[in-house]
Amino acid sequence: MPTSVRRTGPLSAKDDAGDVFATEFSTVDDASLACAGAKGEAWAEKEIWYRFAPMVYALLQRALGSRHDTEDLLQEVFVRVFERLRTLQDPAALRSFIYSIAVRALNEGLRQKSIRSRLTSLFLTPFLRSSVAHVDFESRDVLRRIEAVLDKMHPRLRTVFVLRRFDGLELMEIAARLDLSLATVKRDMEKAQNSIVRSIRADDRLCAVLESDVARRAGEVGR
Amino acid sequence: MRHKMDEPLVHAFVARAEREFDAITQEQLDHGWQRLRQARAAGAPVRHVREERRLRLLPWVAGFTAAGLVALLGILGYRAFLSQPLRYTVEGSAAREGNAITASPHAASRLLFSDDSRIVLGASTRLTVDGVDARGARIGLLDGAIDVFVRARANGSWRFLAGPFLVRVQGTAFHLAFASSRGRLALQTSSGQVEVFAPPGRTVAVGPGESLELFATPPPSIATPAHTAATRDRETTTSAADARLALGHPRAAVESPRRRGGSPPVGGPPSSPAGSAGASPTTPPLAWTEWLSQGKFSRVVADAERRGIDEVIAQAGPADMAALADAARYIKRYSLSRQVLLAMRSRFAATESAKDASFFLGRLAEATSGAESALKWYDTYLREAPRGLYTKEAMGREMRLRGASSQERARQIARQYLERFPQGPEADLARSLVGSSAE
Repeated sequence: MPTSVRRTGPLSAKDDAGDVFATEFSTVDDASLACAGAKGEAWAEKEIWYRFAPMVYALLQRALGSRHDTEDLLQEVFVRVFERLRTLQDPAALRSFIYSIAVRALNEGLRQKSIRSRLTSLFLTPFLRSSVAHVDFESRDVLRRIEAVLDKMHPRLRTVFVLRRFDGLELMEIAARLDLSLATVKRDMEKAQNSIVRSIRADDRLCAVLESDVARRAGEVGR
Repeated sequence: MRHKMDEPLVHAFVARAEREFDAITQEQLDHGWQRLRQARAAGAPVRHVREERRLRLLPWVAGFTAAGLVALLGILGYRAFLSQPLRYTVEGSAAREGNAITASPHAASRLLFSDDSRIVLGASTRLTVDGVDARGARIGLLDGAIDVFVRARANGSWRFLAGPFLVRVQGTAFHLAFASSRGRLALQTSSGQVEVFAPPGRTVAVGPGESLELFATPPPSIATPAHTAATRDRETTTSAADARLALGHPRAAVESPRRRGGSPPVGGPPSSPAGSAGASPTTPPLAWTEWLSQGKFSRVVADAERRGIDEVIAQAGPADMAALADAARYIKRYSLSRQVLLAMRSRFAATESAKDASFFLGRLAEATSGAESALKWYDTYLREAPRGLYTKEAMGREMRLRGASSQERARQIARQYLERFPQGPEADLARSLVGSSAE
């Protein structure tokens, strides 16, 4: 499970009388935070957001690509988290709980995105292309190509790939989180990597950048 | 199957993606928290916390979908409309019997089609409407003259069958005349292009402003029993299948041979393939009309001379005399042609042949004696045959000839022309003449 950047600095909270006071919550452990959040305490919810949103954002962004899609789904994940916090059996497993909700939401989000992108390509692509062109400047070129490679994958394969290669989950864990058999996850992983290699080979520019990365890394290892 | 050598590439891809993807910024975090708090305070369900950007796209998607549906319905409706057979009505005092329509001898009639196409029938014209479908109609022109305006459509298909000739049209305006007794088809196009099929397997495309005259061998039914017996073999090979084509611009029209029907023979030994002998009405006709349709003009004249011109002129029937007049004109034996035509007027006075002869005397005069003489003959023809086969041509030629000398008379004819043939090939000239008087 990846660790997120911890937010530091004072936060405002209220005492029993409802008065606002400043305190430092970054030191509060996940279990206490989960308990306070389950009671609907505003400071706890805010801390949960600031503590775990970067982790969820990173996961969603790798899987979804689009910043707008990522921010929308991020909102959705945390609405679910706060709705279901009371059902959390083990408060210490807050991070895992949020991650599970994020993976599930991601799966649904990818399916919707897949449908939407088909509709968009049908109806809006001719109109969007010109507006996209001006933001596709040089510095973001590689990122766009990476997103394009990921976009070509089936949503489930993409989720499996992101969880395995970016977030470092074991295949068994991925199978459990996605309610799939281990064999299916293995097969999906193989397909996902084949798809990525094919897409990279089809994109001369991206292929050159990555091969250069590979050569540089080999050189560093050699030294 | 992925090769192991690809693993570094995949690894580089993941590493590069890790580097390129941005971490969430403090500003995004703060903004996100505000959004989340507001959404939760408003009690919005999960789906509704999505930014309004989705909703902004919705009208576009809905709009394009609706536009697509409207376009689809439009296309389907248009195709359904196009697949409906055309309807037509007959305007004027034409007699109808089944699918046959005969125009009154005193007035023109019109066929008006539901796609705005129309056919104007000249006086006494007979035609049949053999079929109507979504793309056009099949018209059989039995005898007479029609002015056709076919509305241009991508899949339009109109067919006009006149004797052995088939005129195929997609969208155009033209004048078509067919004289069944003579096997003569005259076509003048005003706009667009038509295709004419003449057996055996000849096709001519006629463009805007062009004219075409075709002659077919008359059907065997006009022959007498004796003639049929004597010429059966010849006619099976030449009958309606043999047509001669000539195409020319109306301004310098190349008159092509005209085919005349069976006629009483002249005396003297026959020189036709089947052989014709004697002057009796029961003897087979000369082969001149057939030779004419084959372009053997000199042979016709030579045969007439061999028989004796005076004898021929005194005894030959109108069809053979017309064939001789035509053949002589085509090989520029103008005096002989004139002699024959004058004889026709004298011998067959008040018949259609005599009236037609005055029109051709006018044509001849244009080539030899000048405009003044030609105009006299055209006037004669228009007086004798105001609704004849060549009325439109005669009026057109007279307009052109008078244009330079007698403007008033030219305008008078132009008005009559426009009244009777508003879509005729000389309609533009007529309008300019009438227009110049208005100024």
